[in-house]
Amino acid sequence: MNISNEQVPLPPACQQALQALLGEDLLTKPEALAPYECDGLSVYRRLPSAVALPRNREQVAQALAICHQHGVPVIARGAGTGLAGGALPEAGALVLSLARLNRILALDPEQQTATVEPGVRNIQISQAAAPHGLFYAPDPSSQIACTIGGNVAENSGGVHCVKYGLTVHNLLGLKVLDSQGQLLEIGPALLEQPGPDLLSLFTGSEGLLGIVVEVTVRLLPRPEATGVMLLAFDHNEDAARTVGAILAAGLLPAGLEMMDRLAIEAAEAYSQAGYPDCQALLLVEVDGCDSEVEAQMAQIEAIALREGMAQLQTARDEAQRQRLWAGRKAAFPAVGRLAPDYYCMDGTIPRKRLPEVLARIRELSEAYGLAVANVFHAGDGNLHPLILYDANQPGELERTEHMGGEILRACIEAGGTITGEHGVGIEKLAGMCEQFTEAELNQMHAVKTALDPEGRLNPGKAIPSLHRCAELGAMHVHHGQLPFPDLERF
Amino acid sequence: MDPRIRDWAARIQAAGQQGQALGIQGNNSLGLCGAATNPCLDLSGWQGVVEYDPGELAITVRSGTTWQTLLQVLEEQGQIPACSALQTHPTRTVGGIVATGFNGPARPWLGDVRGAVLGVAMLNGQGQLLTFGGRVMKNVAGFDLSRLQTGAWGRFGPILEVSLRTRPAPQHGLHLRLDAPLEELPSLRHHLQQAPLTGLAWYQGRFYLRLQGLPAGVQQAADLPGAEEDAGFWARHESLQCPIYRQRPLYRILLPALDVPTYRTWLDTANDALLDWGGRLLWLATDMPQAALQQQVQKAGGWLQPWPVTGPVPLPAARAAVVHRLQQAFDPAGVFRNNPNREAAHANPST
Ligand SMILES: Cc1cc2nc3c(=O)[nH]c(=O)nc-3n(C[C@H](O)[C@H](O)[C@H](O)COP(=O)(O)OP(=O)(O)OC[C@H]3O[C@@H](n4cnc5c(N)ncnc54)[C@H](O)[C@@H]3O)c2cc1C
Repeated sequence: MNISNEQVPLPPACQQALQALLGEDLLTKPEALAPYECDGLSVYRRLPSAVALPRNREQVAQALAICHQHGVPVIARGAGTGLAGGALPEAGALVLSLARLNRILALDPEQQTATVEPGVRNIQISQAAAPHGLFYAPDPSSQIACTIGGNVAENSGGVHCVKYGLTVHNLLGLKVLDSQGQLLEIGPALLEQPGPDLLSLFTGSEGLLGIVVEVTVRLLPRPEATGVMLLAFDHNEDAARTVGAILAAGLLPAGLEMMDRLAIEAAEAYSQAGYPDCQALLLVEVDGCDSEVEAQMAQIEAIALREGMAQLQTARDEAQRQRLWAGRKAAFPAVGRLAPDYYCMDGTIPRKRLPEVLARIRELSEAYGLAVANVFHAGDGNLHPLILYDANQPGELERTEHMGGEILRACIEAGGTITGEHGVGIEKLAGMCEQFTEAELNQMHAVKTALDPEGRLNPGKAIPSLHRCAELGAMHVHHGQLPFPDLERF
Repeated sequence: MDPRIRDWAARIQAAGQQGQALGIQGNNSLGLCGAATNPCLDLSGWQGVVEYDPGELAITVRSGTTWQTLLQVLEEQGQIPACSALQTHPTRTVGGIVATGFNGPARPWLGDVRGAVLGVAMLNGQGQLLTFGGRVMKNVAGFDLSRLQTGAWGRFGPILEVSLRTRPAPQHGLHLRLDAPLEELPSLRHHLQQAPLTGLAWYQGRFYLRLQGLPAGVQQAADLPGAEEDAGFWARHESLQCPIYRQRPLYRILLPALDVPTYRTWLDTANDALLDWGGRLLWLATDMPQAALQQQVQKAGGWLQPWPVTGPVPLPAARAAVVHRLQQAFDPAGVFRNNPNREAAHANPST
């Protein structure tokens, strides 16, 4: 844990210039800075030197230019719901909040696109699109709070990724400012952007390559009908196998989520969703026209029965659907009541490895004496083990982080990745050293240097320096188990 | 280490030391490689499926594998790629499809090539073997340097392996033809908003629709007055065999919005025109001077590509500058600076 709450002031000339630009929208008093000292990974806190709250793109550009001139690092921030410490301030840095750039600039129901500023909250886009029968597909559980700029920076997912993809699949255009405030436009919003895929390069770049100041997203027609099924199982393994069987049968559900016993009990106690008493459950959402929904539900029921389903609940109308989803949606806060703290992991694995990786997590849980609740995007193989702990017990956070590291190692070994949707931030730097070779990390640094030569934007996050890897004692060791294992490395 | 990779890496390193440029070729289906001035790394023999487990909805292949082979392998398991690629030539390789990044007729509905990329293994300009992304659906570890290779024309180095997202093949399909003027496109699109479309084109006075999905949904959407079954168009269109593709000069125009009056002004003076992607892509065979057309397309917020392509199109200045810096980051010695070989392209144009 790195908690140094000394406020380091900005260079006076820089502060003056920012003050002239922003007036009261520049925060410098410690009490005003406090809300910005951490993001969703709140075990790490640090006071920034100042927080800028610009109201338009021109102010953002000028603030960047000023910081560049004075050599001050800039940390972009949306809503601060990130779970990897991506928006954690650093001493001497300016936190650049994009939250006030919150206008929906255009919504075109005919073209099914929306162009928005980065501070628009995820759910606002779907709300604005709803009167036109449209929606914005990626729906992180944090969608009422998190911003689209943050979503782009993290390439966020949600419960509907299986069918509708991640943020990167739903973007059509971006406007990005570089560390000097120069504008780069990847657009207009065509269905194919000429040249190397810069949209993808900036998506998931965690504020290291540029500041996202405008986003054009694709909207989708709301399906005519939607059905939700709750499949209850007496064994984790049966539920995990059913996930693979549904996909192998040629079905593409809109959502496919899994919860284990601890998560189910917590959710039930918290939200009284009426979940059955079982070891594991799957929530499956299917959509289409009425007859398609019926056909898919029948097929899924047959598959689940074959794999050992013990109980079934189905929902076809909105109220029933909401009830079935309620438990899943409340799962994080519900688990939060089981222990003083929880630590949310985010590894992704090939779906066929679900049963064995879940078993490995159980083993680790017993070995470390730390309970784990699993509630996750099973259809994508994206695990979210929640490790329960008490930060006030000396050493318990360290033990938790150590166990988390072992879970991520299990994910890499299973052919997966250390982060499916939450990003690396400061949290998974060690995992990066394990997942990538030196040459690969160097290539990422070269890309960073190409776009931000002085390293002003969110320094020290996402891509560990080789020096840092050595320090963490986590050099890349799993040659055999990496993606593309058949290719040897130099 | 496969000796071929070792050999390519050594050639890249040697070229870098000697200040020499290298091209990269798959099956050379675009006819861009071969001139003596620009020796090429030949990846065409680098073929085969590395890993495919249908339940994972992902496949990994060597980059010299043809797109046709990929389609066959997937078809045997009842799957398709989770994107629509432009199949300019039957021998096009997966590496070539990704490196050029052109999307096919189902792009608005099945997704784009970049979106289907999950990971790549590649060599950079220093001959280092690198893998980015992976084989799982979701992966945000580090910068996305795998999708970045889409549309890069090999300028960051040769792609050796690609992992792509797959999806279940549609269970049922129906191809329809509807005689109607272009002006009916907006209302037709509106009518079809919920339909399981994978194609909507207008060519020579007719709309062509492709409906694919679960039988129930397809049947429901097929209830369209005046429509008749016609599968021929889609077979020709998917393989770029419609007469318009043989016309010259030919342009591929990407459009930001459905704008029938503008299309109409172009169509009235065109030799032939095919409107694809439900109205967002126009193939235009016209004798209008390219500069004048370019200006009009730009005004409409679109993007003009003369066809056949002979290499990466020039980008707007800010984007070109970023790409240039990225090239230096991957390839400081500029080994792939000329890829593909423009000279050869002019000598041997082919679709
Ligand atoms: C309860 C809860 C549930 C969650 N569920 C999900 C989920 O289901 N799926 C999921 O993917 N994530 C989830 N998250 C994580 C988080 O909500 C997402 O990562 C979200 O995208 C972060 O958005 P934000 O606006 O809060 O960004 P912040 O946390 O403020 O910032 C995140 C990162 O993006 C950078 N950044 C922010 N704005 C910009 C910008 N305009 N330009 C450049 N860089 C920028 C920051 O520097 C930082 O590195 C959850 C979080 C919580 C607390």
